[in-house]
Amino acid sequence: MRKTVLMLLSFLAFLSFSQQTLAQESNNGIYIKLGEAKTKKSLMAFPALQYAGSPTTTSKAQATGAEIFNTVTNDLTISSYFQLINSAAFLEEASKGLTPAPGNPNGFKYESWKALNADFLIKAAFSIVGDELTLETYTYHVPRASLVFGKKYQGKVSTARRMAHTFANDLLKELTGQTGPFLSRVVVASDLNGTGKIKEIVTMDWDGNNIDQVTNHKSICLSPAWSPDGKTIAYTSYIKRIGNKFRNADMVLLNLASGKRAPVSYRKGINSGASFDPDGKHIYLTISQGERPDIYKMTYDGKLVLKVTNGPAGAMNVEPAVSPDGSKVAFSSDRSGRAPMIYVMDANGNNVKRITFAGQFNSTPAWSPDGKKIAFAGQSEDHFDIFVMNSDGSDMKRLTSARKPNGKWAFNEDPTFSPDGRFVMYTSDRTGKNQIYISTVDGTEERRVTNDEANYYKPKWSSNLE
Amino acid sequence: MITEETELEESINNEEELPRGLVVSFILHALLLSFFTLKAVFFTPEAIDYSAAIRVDMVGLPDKIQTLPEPAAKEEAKPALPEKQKEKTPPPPPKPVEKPAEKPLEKAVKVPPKKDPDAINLEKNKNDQKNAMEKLKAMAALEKIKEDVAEDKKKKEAGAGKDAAGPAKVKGNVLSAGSSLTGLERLQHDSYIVDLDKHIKNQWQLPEWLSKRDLKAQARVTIDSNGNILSSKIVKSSGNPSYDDEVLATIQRAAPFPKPPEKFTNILSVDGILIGFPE
Repeated sequence: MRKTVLMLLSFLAFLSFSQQTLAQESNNGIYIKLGEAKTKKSLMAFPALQYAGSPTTTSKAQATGAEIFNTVTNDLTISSYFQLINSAAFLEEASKGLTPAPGNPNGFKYESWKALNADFLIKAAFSIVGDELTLETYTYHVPRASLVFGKKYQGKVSTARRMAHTFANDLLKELTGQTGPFLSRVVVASDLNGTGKIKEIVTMDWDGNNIDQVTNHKSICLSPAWSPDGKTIAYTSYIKRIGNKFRNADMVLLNLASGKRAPVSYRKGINSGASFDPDGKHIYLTISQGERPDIYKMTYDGKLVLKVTNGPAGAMNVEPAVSPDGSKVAFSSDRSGRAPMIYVMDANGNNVKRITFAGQFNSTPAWSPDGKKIAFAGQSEDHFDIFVMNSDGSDMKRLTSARKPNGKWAFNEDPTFSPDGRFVMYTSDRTGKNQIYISTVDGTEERRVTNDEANYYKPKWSSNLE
Repeated sequence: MITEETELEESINNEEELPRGLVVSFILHALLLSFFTLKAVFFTPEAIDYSAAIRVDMVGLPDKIQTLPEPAAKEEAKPALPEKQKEKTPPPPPKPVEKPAEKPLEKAVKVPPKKDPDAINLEKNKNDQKNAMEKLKAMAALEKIKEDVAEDKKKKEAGAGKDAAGPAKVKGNVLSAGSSLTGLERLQHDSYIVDLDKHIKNQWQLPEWLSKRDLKAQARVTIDSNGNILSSKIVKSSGNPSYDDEVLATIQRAAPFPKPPEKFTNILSVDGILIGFPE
């Protein structure tokens, strides 16, 4: 007994002693971790492009030069990395050489741009010979007086805009380590003329240019989606097939290059909301078959391989969105009661987790390319807005809040992420028409993309296209 | 008789129970004690709650310093300097008289042994020399060399390279650079670091195009007693010249740094501050 007591006491003594020594081992060196930095935009000077071709073709070339210049300017501005300096402030003619002065007698002077506090200077020239366009670019870091990126591009004159996007992509890749999203496209349903009756599927550059109408059903076409390689789209159209009395919402696959299309799911009722599995073999979609809709997994030739959601009875499970790694599916469901909410489940339908609890109606989930975030449209009062949250539902941020000219709240719907994950695209009726907008993923900058009389519905942003 | 016997038995039983009760109470106490000790060891709250007590410590310290100059002055005036200035700032309340003796004693004890053994050894050696054994002399010389080396080392550790410092000065520096900061020093140290952290963070800015690249750099900054930058250099480069430029620019924007407490001016002007961008 005494022994144990003694042992206890010595143990206690040891403990108190070790506590003292621990306290004495405090770190005396001063070390500070700063954590994440605040960010700022860099000032960029981009003088007009010089024409390096023969003087006789100058006037014809001007339009091409302006198109390249405007496209690059728009890309870099929207990238939100840069603020472009107004050319009225420039202290030097745009015609100064493409390389700096001491080496090049007619070259530009760094001092002229340092005086403007410019961080970057892009000097570019182009020439046109016959049908061939050449674009030569030099991007300099002004404070360090060094060339950061120089590249020459060649192609047909008709690809001028594409060439400009390619340059902007390359420049972002060089500076940020991540390719820009400027060569991506958008597939979207549109009434084309603002009448709102017939809706066809169109594709366009991410900045709203080069609109192509890819369907001509003279019917209502809905919820298009890109295949992982960007070569095929799936969409739903109210088609009247031979032998049927009524139009049915059938799903169609369309090869963009060949224009070949094939119905893949035409079960009675809704066949809609395609989301391509990144495996390149399967599509998740909503099928109602006249009942409450559920989510199914289907091959490209329409064979159902899995009923992914199953009830609960009376509940609808719609709008599947496959995560970029193919392991999870986000969807909206009213299984919790009257209000549809966002849920995430494993790709085989197990482990269903509700991830939104706020608002009255949450729908149209969309994954960020890294799979870390989910955007959705949420209704809190009488209108929808775009929200972004972590894929577990935490850290929810509102991206939109806009009123129409008549003072009523605008509807902002159907979010989709840019291929670099830095932007979210959606539609908004704030002007009266349902137009396409993009916002930075933190909601700090919002821009209108389309500027016409048409209405657009359910845009989907492609990956970077070749 | 029967009753007597039972009484006896009872008393015997009582005698037996008494030590048992003692043991039980002892164990219970031990358990209680161990509980609180364990709790104190493993669930020690940070010293935040002592914030009120900090001021009591600060009141107590100036008195300690008042007594310090006396023993220190015998050797050299220098070590007292930093603390003298401190007297000016907090009003010295005369209460604690017993405590102050502790620290100065330690110092006084630590300081003299350094020189005294030398003197004693030398004297002994002289006596021994007369008698015999040159070996002892050599031993003494060796010892002296050893001590000199040790002192040199301490000088270097303290790093007070600027002032031609005597041994006492070095001692003072060693004390302030010591591995243990407790009480007031610890709190001053902590609150200064909080100030520094906030101050530099305010200036920590990157161009957005650089911010997503997962770059990391560390810089060391030394500052003088007013917080002005003496030197700043990248000790761990990010590998990206633009990022390193931004790191140095952030440090320049942060100048002057918050004025450090006197105790730390030596550390800050020599060892400096290691800043991680972002870690």
